Amino acid sequence: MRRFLNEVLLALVIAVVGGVGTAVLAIEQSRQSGAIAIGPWTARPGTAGPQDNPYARALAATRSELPLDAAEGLVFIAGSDSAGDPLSARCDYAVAGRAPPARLWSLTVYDAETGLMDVPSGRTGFHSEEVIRDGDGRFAISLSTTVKPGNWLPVRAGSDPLLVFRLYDTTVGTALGGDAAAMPAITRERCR
Amino acid sequence: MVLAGGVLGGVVVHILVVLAFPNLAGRNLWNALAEYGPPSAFAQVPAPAPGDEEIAYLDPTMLHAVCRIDLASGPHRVTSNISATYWSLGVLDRRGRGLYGVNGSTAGGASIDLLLISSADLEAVRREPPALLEELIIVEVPTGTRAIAVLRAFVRDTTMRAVVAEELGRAECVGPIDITDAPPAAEAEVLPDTPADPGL
Repeated sequence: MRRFLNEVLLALVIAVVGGVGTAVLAIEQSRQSGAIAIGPWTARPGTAGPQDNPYARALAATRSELPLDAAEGLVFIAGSDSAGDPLSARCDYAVAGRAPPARLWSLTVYDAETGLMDVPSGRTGFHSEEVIRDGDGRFAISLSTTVKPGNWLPVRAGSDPLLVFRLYDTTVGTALGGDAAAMPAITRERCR
Repeated sequence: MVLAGGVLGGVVVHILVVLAFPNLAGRNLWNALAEYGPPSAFAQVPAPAPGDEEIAYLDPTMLHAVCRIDLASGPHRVTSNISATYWSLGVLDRRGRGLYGVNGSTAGGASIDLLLISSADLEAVRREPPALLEELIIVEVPTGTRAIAVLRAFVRDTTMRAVVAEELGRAECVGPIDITDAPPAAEAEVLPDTPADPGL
């Protein structure tokens, strides 16, 4: 009898540990599935309609956000540069090139630890109607702790920069496609 | 035997955890938005600032208004008129999953007028659709789902902020409304001539 109870107990431990463990892994992994990756940028379409898998739906509830429906836009996130190295406040970066077709876009810099980048000027990003472009319609935004000419996006020393590029009213990620390859490159420049 | 039982149980636990996760995650969006205002009315969400982001990853170039809608009480009507370069309206369920979305271009202008209605309420009027249903964009929400309407409007620069905030403030989220009400008496006379089943 005692042996039987031990076996039941062992089976229960396997069931709970294994079940919860694999569920957590699956929920985490769904961050990757269904995602759109372009260079250093990754978008996880916010729509979690009835056709979505339960992992994605479970994930949406882990924090309070107001996700964008696919009909509203698409949010790309980058925590590393185009070479794959993590973004660091010790280095300067150029976010340069073109944006995919969209009615509007905005680039915002966060500190991965604390949220919106806390800088004295209060400038936390640029949008498509204010960014300075060259004659070909290309733009270059400088990410740096020190003042840069042109589109300077200040970064707080010691922070872990996280870039969020939001495309509003875009065909990227929809059945229509869109020139997704046109996401700007993130190129590391000088490091200190 | 022990292993087989454990694995079988593990499969059951795995499925239960994944399905229950949205309910277990304490902060559902409906409750998180309660502090901004009562249901059935738009409330503006404070603009995010460094160190002060009550809602994570809100675009600081946008102003946001939200309306919590309990469709069990009846259909709700959402109207707005936003002149900004970009605006959009999303409908989420109470946990933040997308149900519907529209933006200024797809809406074809600055204004939108839509009716959020539960499947059950829509089914109840399907045989004789009231005139109002023909005039509005209908967003059908699964019965028993509480919805959150999210209105976003682009703020080009700080000089535009007050204008956009004022337009957002005029957005309406009204309900429950009685859709079976024939609006003016004169139009009600015409109803029998309309086809019995226009195929909603």
